[in-house]
Amino acid sequence: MPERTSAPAAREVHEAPGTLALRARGLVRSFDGVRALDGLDLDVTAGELCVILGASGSGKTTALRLIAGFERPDEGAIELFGERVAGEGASVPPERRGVGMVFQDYALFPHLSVEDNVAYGLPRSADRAARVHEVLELTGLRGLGRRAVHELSGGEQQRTALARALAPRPRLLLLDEPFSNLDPSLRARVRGELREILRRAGTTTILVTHDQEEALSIADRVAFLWEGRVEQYGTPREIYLEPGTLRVAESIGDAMVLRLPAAGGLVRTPFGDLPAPPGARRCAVVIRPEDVLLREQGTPAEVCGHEFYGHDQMLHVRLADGAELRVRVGPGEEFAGLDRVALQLRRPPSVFAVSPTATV
Amino acid sequence: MTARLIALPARRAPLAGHGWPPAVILLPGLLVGALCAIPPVYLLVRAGQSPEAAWEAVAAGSTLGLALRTAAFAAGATVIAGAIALPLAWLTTRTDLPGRRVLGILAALPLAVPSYIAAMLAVSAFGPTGLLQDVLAPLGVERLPSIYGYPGATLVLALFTYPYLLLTLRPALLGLDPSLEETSRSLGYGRWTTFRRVVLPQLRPSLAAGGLLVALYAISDFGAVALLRYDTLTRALFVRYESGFDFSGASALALVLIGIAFTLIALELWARGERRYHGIRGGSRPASVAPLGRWRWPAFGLALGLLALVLALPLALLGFWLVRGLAAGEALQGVGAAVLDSLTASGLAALVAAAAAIPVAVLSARHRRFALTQPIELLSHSGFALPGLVVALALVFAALHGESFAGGLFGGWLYQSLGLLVAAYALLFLPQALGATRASLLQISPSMEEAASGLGRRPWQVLGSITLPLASRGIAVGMALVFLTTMKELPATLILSPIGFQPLAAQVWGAASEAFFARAALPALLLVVLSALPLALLTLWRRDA
Repeated sequence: MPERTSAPAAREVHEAPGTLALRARGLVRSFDGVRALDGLDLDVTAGELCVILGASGSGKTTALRLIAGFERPDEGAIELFGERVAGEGASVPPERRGVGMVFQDYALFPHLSVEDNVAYGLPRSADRAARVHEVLELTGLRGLGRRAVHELSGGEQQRTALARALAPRPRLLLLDEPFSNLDPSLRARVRGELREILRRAGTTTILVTHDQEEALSIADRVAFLWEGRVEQYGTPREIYLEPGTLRVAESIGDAMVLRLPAAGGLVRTPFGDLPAPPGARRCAVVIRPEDVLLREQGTPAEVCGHEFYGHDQMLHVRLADGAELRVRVGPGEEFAGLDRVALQLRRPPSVFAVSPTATV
Repeated sequence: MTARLIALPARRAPLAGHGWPPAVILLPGLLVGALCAIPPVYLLVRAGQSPEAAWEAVAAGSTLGLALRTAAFAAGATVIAGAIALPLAWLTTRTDLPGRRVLGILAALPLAVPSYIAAMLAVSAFGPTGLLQDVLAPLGVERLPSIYGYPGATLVLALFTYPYLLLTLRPALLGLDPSLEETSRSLGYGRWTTFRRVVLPQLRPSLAAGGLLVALYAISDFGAVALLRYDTLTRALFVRYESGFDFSGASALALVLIGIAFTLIALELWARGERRYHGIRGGSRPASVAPLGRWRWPAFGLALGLLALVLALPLALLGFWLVRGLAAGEALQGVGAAVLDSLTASGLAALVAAAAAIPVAVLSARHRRFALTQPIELLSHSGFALPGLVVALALVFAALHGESFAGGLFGGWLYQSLGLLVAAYALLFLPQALGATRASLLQISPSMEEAASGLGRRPWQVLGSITLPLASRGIAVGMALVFLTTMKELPATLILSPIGFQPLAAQVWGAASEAFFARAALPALLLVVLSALPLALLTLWRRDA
């Protein structure tokens, strides 16, 4: 959506910001004995864009389908804007939840035009056509209303699905892997467009993805899902910079893990002693390649390889204790003939207790 | 070498885990299941009422003999049909046979010739006083090999039922992933070994499914075995019915017949195998075409010869008898009414079967995990296993029974009514409508329906505005199939037609069973043409899809 000022008046906020749009507690759902969700808790504040990030099989799509009402939880409860919709005797069918959903395959009705797809969820009334027009405008589909859905490009199909979901002014919008069917070269642009459309619509949104770059760049808050539970919930910055668990640290971003013994509340690292979690006898120290700096003085290391990527380059080094690290440096540095470097850390690394028997 | 193929995880059906299907689906589904249960339940109850008589009928030596003859008939017909259909399917899909597309469509058309018309023509042409004998007699040929009995009946049935196999084999051959065959070739196996070890195993499900159709047709066939004088259970059952009989014994015979049908279905399940072949993404590339080389024209000649035998010859014979009949002053009156009766019965049957198929197909495609789905589905397929004669007899006696039980209220208007006839047709051919409707439902992504309900539509609205419009093609295909089969159906038509109602099939039979070939010619010709039209449409549709 180029050259459009973000006038707050254009927003269609239906609920006061700060109220809880979604409150999910202890959601359990099994398929043929396999637990897709295993005690999921999630709160989403109205007006926010929450991204559920997880590998395939982590239960993220199941979570979305439970919220939409296409599946029922085996255990646990779901509240939407304070109203119990599932669990503990409640079971509100999807058509009465006021939740919009954009499917991974878009699920556009092939026998209806773009307009008719968008109008599908609107009651027959005088302002129906006006609303269709408005939403097509919002999603940048003006002039395409009469098209058949198979005549649209991938990005247009995605925006049609979005327009259809937004048209009835849902309280909550769910997006299931919205970018996975798009050409990779298109994704970044479409992501920006989607973010802008959602911001102007002002709809509380939950988006599911397995792509961490997507999650970090678009979300107000990220819920990292692992084996059917939320492993960490926080802003993209918190998730990346202050990972709550070793799994989050390892899963998101490029991470190097040094497994080192701890004693007396301290873990001895090549970069000095760091406080260890209470009672830990062995720790995992997580260092990101961009946090390692080349300095005049510091921990000595031997250079063992190097790759040039253009926007940056990666230096492979070996420490005195044999541990190998990667160092991300800018493209301008020259490493020919260099065989020894000194390293410092930009910021203290994250330290987690691990079981003493754990191996690398 | 049985390569285990990777099956992709199936898309979970919506709302499939817990909970009930919406009432708009469940209630009609339950009704259909209950109605379909009437014939088998009635037969069981009747046989159970006098178990001694029933057991006597089953255990009689003649019954065992009949059962064996029936099984031999079904087996022979299926093997011969397979021997015709498999090469023909391969030639018309995977080779450079001249005109293979047209040949493929034409080769399915013998399905429009019902077995009793085929048998009638065979007798009129090759029987002891038939046309060929007349032609050959001056040359000193005293006797042709007999057309009657096992060889004649089996051959005639196979020649006109092989299209069932052809129609299941062709799409399978077209949908095979060519890279599997290419892999085998690159591993050093020749074309024949590749066919035997890679292609044939993948065709197993289609061979089993098509073979089952031929075998079930054979055991429930009545017209051909009667005209060609080969005694099977179905024929014996009909003879007993016509000569007025005790029903307990008859229902025992019917149960033996049903037993054979279920054995065949079990055989099919076994032959289809445990392995799943459909998980593979096939058809991204069209299947490769094998050059026939110097066999190209001989193969073409063979295919043409077959078509001459099963299409041109029947039509020519019908034309011949028609002309001879006209010359002899055969009256044509009554044929118009027969056409109307046929169209009415077939049209109503198609409508009823299509309507009944919708709830069952939705249950089957979308609510697999619901506890009642499988029982309802199973009952809806009873027409597949139950021979038409058995269903018709069960309905006659159930209606009569109901009449005596509930006075004129229940049976009085039912027996000998068009409603009962249409119900029998719909019950018999519901599986065809079901298969086509279900297949098209499975092609609709469930997220389509979820999107609609997420947008605030109630289940019945979703059904009306999304599911049915998107499945309309499958529903239409199902209706065409039911229409076609109803047009040809004989035993139920003979038993259940109301007084004065005489569709083409009944008229043909009335004349043919008395060897009035000339009188049978016109209704038979009309029957074949009226059945061929939807069949040609179906073949074209299938190619588009």
